[in-house]
Amino acid sequence: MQTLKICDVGLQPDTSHAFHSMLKIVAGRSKAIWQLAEVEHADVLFASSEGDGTTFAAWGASGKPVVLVIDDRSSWPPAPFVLRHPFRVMQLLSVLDDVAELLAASPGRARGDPSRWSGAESLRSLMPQSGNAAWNIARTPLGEEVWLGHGFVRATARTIARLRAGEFELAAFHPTATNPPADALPIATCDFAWYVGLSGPARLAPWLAVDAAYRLRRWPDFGRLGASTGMLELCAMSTVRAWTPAGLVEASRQPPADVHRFLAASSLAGLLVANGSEQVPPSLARGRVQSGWDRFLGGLRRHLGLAA
Amino acid sequence: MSRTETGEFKIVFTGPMGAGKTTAIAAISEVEPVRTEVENTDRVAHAKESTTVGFDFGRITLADGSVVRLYGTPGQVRYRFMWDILGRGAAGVIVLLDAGEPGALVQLDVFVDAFIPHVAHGALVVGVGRTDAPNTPSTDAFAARLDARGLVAPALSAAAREQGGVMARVRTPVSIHGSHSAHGLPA
Amino acid sequence: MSSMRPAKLSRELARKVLEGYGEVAGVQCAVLFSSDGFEIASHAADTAASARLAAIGSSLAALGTALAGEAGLGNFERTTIESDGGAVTIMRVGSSRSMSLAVVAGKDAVLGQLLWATQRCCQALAKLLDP
Repeated sequence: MQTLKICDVGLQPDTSHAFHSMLKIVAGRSKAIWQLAEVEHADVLFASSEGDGTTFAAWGASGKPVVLVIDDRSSWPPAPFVLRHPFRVMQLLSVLDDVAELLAASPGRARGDPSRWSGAESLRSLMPQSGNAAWNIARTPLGEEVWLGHGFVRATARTIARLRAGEFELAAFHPTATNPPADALPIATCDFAWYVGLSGPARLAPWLAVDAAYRLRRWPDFGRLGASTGMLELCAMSTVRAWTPAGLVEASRQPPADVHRFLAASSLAGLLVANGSEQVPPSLARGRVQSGWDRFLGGLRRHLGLAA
Repeated sequence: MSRTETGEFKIVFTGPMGAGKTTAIAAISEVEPVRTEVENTDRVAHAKESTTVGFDFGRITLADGSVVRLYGTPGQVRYRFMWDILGRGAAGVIVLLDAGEPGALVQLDVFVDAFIPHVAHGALVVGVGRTDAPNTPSTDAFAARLDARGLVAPALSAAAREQGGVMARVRTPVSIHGSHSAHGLPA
Repeated sequence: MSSMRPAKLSRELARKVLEGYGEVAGVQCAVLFSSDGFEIASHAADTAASARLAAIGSSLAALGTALAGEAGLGNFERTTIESDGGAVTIMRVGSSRSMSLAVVAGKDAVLGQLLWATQRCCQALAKLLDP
């Protein structure tokens, strides 16, 4: 679990005190471990909108997130993380988790936008065959390997964790005669496709059309995948009606990079359809990740010469 | 980021007995929930000791200031009249199911049939527990069942007690409801 | 002490008690039910009606319990719904919270007398089923 340092600036003494107390209460219930720190060492700023302009300017230049605390006379600002004072523990927890989610997902992007969609494009072209009894492999710049075939994607636990965090750029898949090693765990192809889409470049994926209107035909399983409020909003909007990519950016008021990645992820996972298109999205071989009991039964069946 | 209008919403948790409705509300309510549990005399239907026969009531305020009133229904079909009473005026309905119970997919139909008339804008969310147990239907199976009825409703893996998951499940119908209000095409 | 639904003989005896009580002026029907909405015995109500009364009655008893608790007033005892055409009273039976009695009465019933008679009936039922 990541540890994040947070500093409060410009709050009234009672608000600051309440914030410090609540941080103790949320300990253990948040997606991250939160520590109070000085402004110079903080990852996140917790600041009143009435606060000190110089601190804000300096912080703004760093690109690090800020949680804005407003009072009940203020109108809601166009900022991603806002709390109205007085706020409750659950509201604070909700905002802190959204910030943690953002920071967990973006280190790769902060280092530099991946420039290519090649990994995603090759995944897309392979999807109809992903159930075949043949392996394809893709590598990351750090030499991690991902295997695709037999209805699944396989990779080590560490690689999957880094993929979920958006921490790597996948090169294109190519066929291989070798098999994945024993410590390569299975992950459902559609889940893998989702994470690949979310960690792609900031611009619109090349297989999506600027003037087509897209809608979601099915929701992703956020219970398994995890989701930020922003993702939930984009899904909700895309199930209500179809949007062109630019239309969705404007209506959602979310950063274009987030909207493009959402579109890429849902399209790769087979959840997105273009309005008016006859095309059924490419079907994924839907293998389910087996539990120990399923594997035992499967082994038994094979041993007895029965169909899988 | 677009926001749902700040307001007050009613979200209903429903689903068969033992699916975790009372637990989910208790996990996130910021006030001590009202509960109406009594001894379960029908251990054949479910082994649990207690069951809700009135409704659960809780409340939570979301980060944007919206107040969400949470209601939990009883699960047994003989309390169907409560489903209608509680469903009226709901902004969203969360159907909790236990994938490990036989007939979970049929139960999905029962609750969707009962509540779809109340959530005209389709802010229905299905939370499925125990999908990692062996030989149980996956969330895909539940999503496919919803597809077959022409409903694009989320089917999410769910653990009743886990706060983050319950919060996501509450925020989802609020988002859907808000999206319909803001962007829905006229009927 | 676990209080699963009473055995058949007890239910038959309860039904007789209800029959006697049914002679009280204005009583249209009476249903004895478990706290989780199952009918135990009834008088002058067909199966479908008594099943519904048992379920709705159990919800009202549970809500009454929650409300009395919320108001700091101790244990729920009874609630009466008064309508144009009569009244329905839900009254707890015995000291454990496992059973209640629902009584439907027409306009010709005198509420005070009805409640008194219902209380006596509940006491008789309690002796029989919930000693």
